[in-house]
Amino acid sequence: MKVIGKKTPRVDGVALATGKPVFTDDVSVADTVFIKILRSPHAHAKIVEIDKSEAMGISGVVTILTHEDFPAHYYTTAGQGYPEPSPRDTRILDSTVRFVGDEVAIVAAETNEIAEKSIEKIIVKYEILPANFEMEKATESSSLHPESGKTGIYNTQKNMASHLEAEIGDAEKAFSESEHIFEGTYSTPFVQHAQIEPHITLTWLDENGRLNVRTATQVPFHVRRIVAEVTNFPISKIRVIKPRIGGGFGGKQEILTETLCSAITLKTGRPARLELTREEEFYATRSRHPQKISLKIGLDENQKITAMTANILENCGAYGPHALTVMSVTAQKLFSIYKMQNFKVVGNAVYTNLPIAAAYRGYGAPQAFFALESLMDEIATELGICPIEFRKKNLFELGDELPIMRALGEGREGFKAFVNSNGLAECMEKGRKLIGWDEFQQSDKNSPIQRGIGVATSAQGSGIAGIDMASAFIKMNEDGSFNLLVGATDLGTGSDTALAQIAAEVLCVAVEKIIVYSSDTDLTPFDTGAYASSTTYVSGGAVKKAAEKVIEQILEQGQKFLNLENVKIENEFVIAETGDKISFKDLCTKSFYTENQMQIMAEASNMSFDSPQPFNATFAIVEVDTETGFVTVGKIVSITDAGKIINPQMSEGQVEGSIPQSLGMVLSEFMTFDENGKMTNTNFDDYHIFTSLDMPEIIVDFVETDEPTAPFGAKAVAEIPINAPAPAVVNAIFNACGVRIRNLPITPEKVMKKKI
Amino acid sequence: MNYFSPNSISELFNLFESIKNYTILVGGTDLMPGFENGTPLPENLIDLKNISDLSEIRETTEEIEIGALTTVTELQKNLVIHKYFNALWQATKEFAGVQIRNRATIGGNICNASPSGDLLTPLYSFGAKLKLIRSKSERIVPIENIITNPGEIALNNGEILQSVILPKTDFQSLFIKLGLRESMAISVVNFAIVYKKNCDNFEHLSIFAGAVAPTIIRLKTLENVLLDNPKTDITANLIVPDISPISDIRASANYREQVLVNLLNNEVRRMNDEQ
Ligand SMILES: Cc1cc2nc3c(=O)[nH]c(=O)nc-3n(C[C@H](O)[C@H](O)[C@H](O)COP(=O)(O)OP(=O)(O)OC[C@H]3O[C@@H](n4cnc5c(N)ncnc54)[C@H](O)[C@@H]3O)c2cc1C
Repeated sequence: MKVIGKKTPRVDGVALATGKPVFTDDVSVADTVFIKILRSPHAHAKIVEIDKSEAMGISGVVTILTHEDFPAHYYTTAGQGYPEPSPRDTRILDSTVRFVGDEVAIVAAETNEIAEKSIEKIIVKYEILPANFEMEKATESSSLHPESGKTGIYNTQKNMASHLEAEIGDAEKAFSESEHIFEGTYSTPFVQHAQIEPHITLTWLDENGRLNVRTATQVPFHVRRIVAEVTNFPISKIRVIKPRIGGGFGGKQEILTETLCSAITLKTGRPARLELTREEEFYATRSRHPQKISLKIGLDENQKITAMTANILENCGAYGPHALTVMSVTAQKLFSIYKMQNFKVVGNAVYTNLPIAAAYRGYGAPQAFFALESLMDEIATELGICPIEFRKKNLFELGDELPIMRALGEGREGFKAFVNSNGLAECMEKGRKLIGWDEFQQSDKNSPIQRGIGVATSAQGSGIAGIDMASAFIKMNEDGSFNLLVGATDLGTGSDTALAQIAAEVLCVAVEKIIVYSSDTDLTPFDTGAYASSTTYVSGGAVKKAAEKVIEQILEQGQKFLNLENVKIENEFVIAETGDKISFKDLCTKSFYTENQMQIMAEASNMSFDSPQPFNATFAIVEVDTETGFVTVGKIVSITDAGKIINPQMSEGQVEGSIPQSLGMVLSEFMTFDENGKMTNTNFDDYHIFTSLDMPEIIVDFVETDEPTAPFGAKAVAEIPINAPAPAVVNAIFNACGVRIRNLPITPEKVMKKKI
Repeated sequence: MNYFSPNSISELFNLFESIKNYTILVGGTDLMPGFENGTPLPENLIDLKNISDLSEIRETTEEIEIGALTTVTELQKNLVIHKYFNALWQATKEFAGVQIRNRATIGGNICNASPSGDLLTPLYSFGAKLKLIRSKSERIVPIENIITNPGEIALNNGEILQSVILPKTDFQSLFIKLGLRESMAISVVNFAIVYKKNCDNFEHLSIFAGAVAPTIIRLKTLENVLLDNPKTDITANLIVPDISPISDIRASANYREQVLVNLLNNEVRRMNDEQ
């Protein structure tokens, strides 16, 4: 292959690196009003009265909207397939607030400062309602969503947003016949995406009265659909444009700022701008679902897993976007690496009066693998066997069916799935060598610094089977270049480049000949969006098909122009067996102006009933300071099977970027709340993401496999590497000092407590 | 809010004639986040950045005088500080991150009077004196007489911190900080030890700890025991009489106490092993 798998600079790299005005905020429209949001100081309250007279009186205030300005229409902020599997439990502005930070009113003013001043002058009378902050108590607490008209909530009275169950074989019977049984309960906290660019939207009405929405989103087509629904404005009159994005990680799979901004523009007729503050990003956008997972594993005398049961309790916070689907991924992934005949999983997602959780890179899988890979390590220790050999013994093999995928789809019944490629065992072997597993020496027992080593594995998907759909459109230009138009959304991941590579490979041209334009609902065809690790696999498939159709047309025109049957493509020429040839340039020019006139162009759609699993094995070496409990991660080796690698540097970048996020989740990142449910660490001074000085040495490598259902054999690489670093560190800490912590994060204080 | 940036000390004092309600701004690394988090803006903000006299480091045979506007980066680059005041130099390395160190000043760290201010334990341990100036007078006072409570300093209206004076000695010193990440982290505990050994005994010893009481405190009980017997195993009861830690978002009081004991033991053992 000429382009696939080769060093290819990003198509947007120069513009980004030279500071060109590429982000949402880099454009300003004359006459814009600025929006600020008044947020609830209470965790649960009814709004009895809103007096906005004083606030409206401030010079420069243009309008103030509250729940009184909107009908009681319920929707979900989750940008996912339609009809959405998430409960429709949200109003654009509600008369009840359900967490500290919930939206009460929006002010539009001539400047940000005036808007800020104005929200302080809005007088709201609240009737305080009882609030619950513990997911364990959710089912006995008073209902957060008793209102009629809300749909898709599993059990309103019991605060259960969603519920799932799946069963294969007979786990209880298998346990009774098992040689060994192991159990453990594992829990994870709320953590934040902490992407650099906050949520930001700019809206305006163009000369034809159409609503333009320039926004930092991962899901432009879902934005268009949901803005239309919530503002009651026709889809045909909405254009959503996604410029370059400063990170999303799932946080921008939510429709948050777009609906509010659009409502202001539609109300005032003026351009509107809404950018959230860092504090709002923390407590008022979205986070990772805390989960409590109880696992029970049965083994036979050969240390083969015979059965496993899992109980998942998931904390949604006050609303339920992605409540069911995140939990479904947790459930699926628990049963996607190790082969067994009997299993059962039950999951409940519950409401609490805390900030809202939703999609975050990994989407339920990090919680699953923290639990599963901790327990696997505990079992290996208990039985005195090598954790790598123990895992290898239990892996799925090529051709095996993944029964969980049949039993449990993404919010509905699934599709039959098989393991068509699996490089996990090789990933483990490669990592074992690169980390020096067999040579590793623990520290002297008397040393205050104890070193340890750990391993963990994981799986993810590539798109959502049977749901995600993407399309692409390609047209040829008379200089032999091609426009590639895709709905797919590059949120900083580099997918525009990967898709250009796929087109270039099929069209037999250099990547520079592909002009990518993406994510504009007026100009590019539909794509469900950038989530579920779907773009290379699903959108890439569409690009490949479209390019193949274009090549057909080029060959046909070539045959006609050369008057010969047997032609092939070489170096941007159509060449006949006789040696006669015509360049792409001449071929397209002729097609435009002189002979058999036509635009060479094609479009294609793609969806898949498969979601092939990428795999990863991560190894960690840590040092635990036994005098302070402080854990330093010394080295991470992350080996991924993402099928065929389309772009090596970008793939490495995906892996490297995921590691600090996973290390943060295990060691330093967690949202804290006071007794009233107010988040207390809403800034980077107290919410500790890893800094460059905290980062360990990282070795990233790949085991390439060929996925038969994928474009050029490529599986996804976006989410897979975020899962295993956390459990690898957990296991390394145990290896270092014998402290096993089952509730994240592992703070120095927790390590010290466990040691005594 | 009015903003002033006088170009000299005399201009500043002239300004004080007419303005009574003001806040001094230097690096702004404490003030600006404070304003962002809701501290009301003052009527007048006086920025000292243009008064170059305040950022000099002067050395004599007996002492070193550090201008209040000296940044943490400048402290770190200063060879005299590296030579005589290792604990202070160590603290500059553990301080925030590069960007903050380029702006944050020693005067700001002192006048902000945070119990976890990283430059403070070294300054206390070296017996730092502060030179405070007003229009017609100046006074030189030990640092502990000026920092009274968290965020409170005993400065008069119209008075500013001009410089910090440290006596040169042949003492050795060290600074230890535990934060919850490798950089950009506020101290969970920190301490400085200034000492001189004579054979196996301490001829001089001063130990000050931060983030375990409302202000920086001297571990007097521990000092006395170690002066008596340097090999004493340090236990909680040797520091508990002097400290009064609190629990907050970063750590519990218990953890602070426990870790302080462990880290002190570690360092004192090392000091004992030194030849
Ligand atoms: C991200 C971040 C990380 C930080 N990390 C650390 C850390 O690791 N360790 C640490 O100790 N601190 C840290 N700080 C706090 C801060 O940087 C220090 O306290 C710094 O020394 C303050 O100096 P400044 O010049 O910025 O003070 P400013 O903010 O300008 O002033 C602080 C206070 O002192 C007063 N003041 C300043 N100079 C004088 C003077 N000459 N006379 C009278 N009053 C004066 C001001 O009025 C104000 O009340 C951090 C701050 C931030 C934002």
